[in-house]
Amino acid sequence: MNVYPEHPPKLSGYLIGFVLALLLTLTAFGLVIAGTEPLLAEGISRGTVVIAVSLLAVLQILVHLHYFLHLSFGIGNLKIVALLFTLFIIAVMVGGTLWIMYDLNYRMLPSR
Amino acid sequence: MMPDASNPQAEPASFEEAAATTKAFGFWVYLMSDAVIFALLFATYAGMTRNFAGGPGGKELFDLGYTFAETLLLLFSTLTCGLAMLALTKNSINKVVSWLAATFALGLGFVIMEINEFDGLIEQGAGPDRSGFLSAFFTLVGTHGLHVSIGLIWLFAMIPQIELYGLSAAVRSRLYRLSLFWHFLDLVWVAIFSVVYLLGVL
Repeated sequence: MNVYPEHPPKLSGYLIGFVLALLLTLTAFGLVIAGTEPLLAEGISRGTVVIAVSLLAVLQILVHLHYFLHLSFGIGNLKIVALLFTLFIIAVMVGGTLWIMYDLNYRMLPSR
Repeated sequence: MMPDASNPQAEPASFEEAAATTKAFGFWVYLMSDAVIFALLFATYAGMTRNFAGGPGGKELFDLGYTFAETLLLLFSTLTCGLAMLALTKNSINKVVSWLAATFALGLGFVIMEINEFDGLIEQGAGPDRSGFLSAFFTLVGTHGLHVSIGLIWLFAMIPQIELYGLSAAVRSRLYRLSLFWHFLDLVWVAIFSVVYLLGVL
């Protein structure tokens, strides 16, 4: 029986995914290990490095989803629907948690 | 043409095939629920990133070279897992077992490194009881490590199944779901090394 009804995996897919993931990993680690000092010297803020690392992580997650988990992006795909719903749930719960904890933290500060 | 998540309208070929694709989709839904759990552990961690309680933080505790090694182990294991599934589509039973064994070895290396890291942290008084930051760290990274350990048990359990039943329909279906689980764990690790370790050192 065929566990891959959509399209069978190919070696090229796994190798491309692996190389892309490796490059994104090396870039992210390189940026933080070796890069922060020279970047800060050139006036690039810490915040920019944070955004860069986050972006590299998101890209690598997409690489994983497509090349390893064989997720084909397309709204008819029930897996995509499940993923989008999950992202919505995550947005509500994480966003709500951060909002509540931030607000609580503010209310717990000593009053002026 | 098999109906599945990407094409729900197609005709099923057999009960076994229909059951297998339903199980595959069901397992994906489970992975989505697991993603919510990890997202909330991340949110908790995010709220605690500065709660050092006068103790050590990421800058003092994290060894990025060590983390990079752990990352490579997991990334290579995701590749070998994919190669095992590739061998599965070609019915090469020996290659399936070999690549699964390689995946197990790499995953075991990761878990050993992580246990060693946790042990080292506790030794220097930076255990989960030291501060809110460390509690959140140990919970998030520890939960991921626990998932990997369970994956190792699953990998270990598949090899005698292959010896006994060959590449039967049930074995294939289980290997497929195991590969989904394993790839998902590497995906979560990408978020962990980025948010916890890399951003924690900045």
